[in-house]
Amino acid sequence: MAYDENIYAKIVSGELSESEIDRLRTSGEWDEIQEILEVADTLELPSHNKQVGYEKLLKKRNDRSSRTLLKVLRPMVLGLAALLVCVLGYLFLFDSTVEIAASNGETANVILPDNSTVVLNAGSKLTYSKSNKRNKKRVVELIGEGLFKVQTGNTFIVETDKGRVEVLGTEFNVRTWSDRLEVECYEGSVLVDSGEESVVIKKGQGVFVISDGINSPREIENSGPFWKDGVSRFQNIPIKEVFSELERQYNMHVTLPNLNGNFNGRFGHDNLKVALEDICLPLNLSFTITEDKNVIISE
Amino acid sequence: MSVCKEKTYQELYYKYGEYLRNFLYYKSGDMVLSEDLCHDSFIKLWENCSKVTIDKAKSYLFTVANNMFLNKAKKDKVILKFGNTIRSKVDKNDPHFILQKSEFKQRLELAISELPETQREVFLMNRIDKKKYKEISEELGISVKAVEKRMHKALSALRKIHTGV
Repeated sequence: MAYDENIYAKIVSGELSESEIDRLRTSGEWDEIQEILEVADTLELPSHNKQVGYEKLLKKRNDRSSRTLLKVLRPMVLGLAALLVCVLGYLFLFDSTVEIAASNGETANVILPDNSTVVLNAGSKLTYSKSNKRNKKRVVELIGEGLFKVQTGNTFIVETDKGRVEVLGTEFNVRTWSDRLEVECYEGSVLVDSGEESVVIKKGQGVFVISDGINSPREIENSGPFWKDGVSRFQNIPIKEVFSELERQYNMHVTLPNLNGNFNGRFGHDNLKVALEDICLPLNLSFTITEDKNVIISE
Repeated sequence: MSVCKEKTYQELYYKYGEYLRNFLYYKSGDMVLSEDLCHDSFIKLWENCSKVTIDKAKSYLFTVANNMFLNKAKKDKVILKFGNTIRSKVDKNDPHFILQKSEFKQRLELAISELPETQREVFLMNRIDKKKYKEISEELGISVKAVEKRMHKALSALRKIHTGV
């Protein structure tokens, strides 16, 4: 090739002359490189949560610095170890964390140390600290879905892997299945923070956090989550996600064909057959309930 | 401003943490390992915070990360995985077009995985992290010319997926 050195690299940085570009166009190279660049630009990596990442970093850093300290102080360590065990044991009793999970097919009521209450929907898990120190933020971790009634007091935080929800005293539902965080507020107001942006929603509003960011809040007419009344309701939710919810509510396994598209509607938690009809009829699907109580869906 | 100040240190993480993780991923194809080594690099920065000035912090981090990768994790073959959305200005509802695009994308991903590590990292730092050659050259501690060379070679290799050679 009689071209300049590194000519493709210069397509990207835009340093080519008109005649060089013409040459590349004529030979077809220009279009080929452009298509590669265009498609390469759609590649993405898992998002990076700065806050969570930083907390992990600090934890690891602290762990490590205490280890190096131990090495330096080794002669004293044995004597101190016994004392340390006692002190840690004492602290542990007063500052241990508790993990509560609702099995599939069940909900679980949790009363937190500050008397706030949480109702966990099927298959969800809540972790919180036993201690209830004054002047301290209240932090719980949630996987799945839960309805919170928070006592007034210090900031109350629900950490999820898709963002955090921060409140003072109020009632709200947090849902983190599939790829989104969904928050509905029934009393007071809450702050929803995706790590990159945040929004405050008030009583009667709901919001989605998806990978692109936070959607603008919408009005909701329900005064509590539907699952509390034994119903799962969906508005424009991927069909796969609807069946995952069914699996959690009825504690069984669903075998699905490859389905695309979304579902609008609801199903109850008290009768599997009726629930399956409610989902399958509008979608034109048929279902079989096997002997071991699992479900097979077909088109 | 000292890097030993918690606030400065945090700002550095917020600014470069993701880039450093991605950089390690381009090299290793292992996300868990990349997050680990990224944190280890930042811990090393903390341990040496009195010796590293803030304007040197970024290249320090990339150098440390690169060394850690070479010492601990270098592998001959890596497979990179990416999110699978297809975005395009062209008609999204044409199934034939979408199929073609997603096939092309798969071939591209494979070809990227097969690039030599030095070319792959330059190409992806430019395309995914949207970094200019100048910035990449500072982070890798090489000349802009060398970055261009790697980019050119990467694109020449990737162009072959058109011809199927």
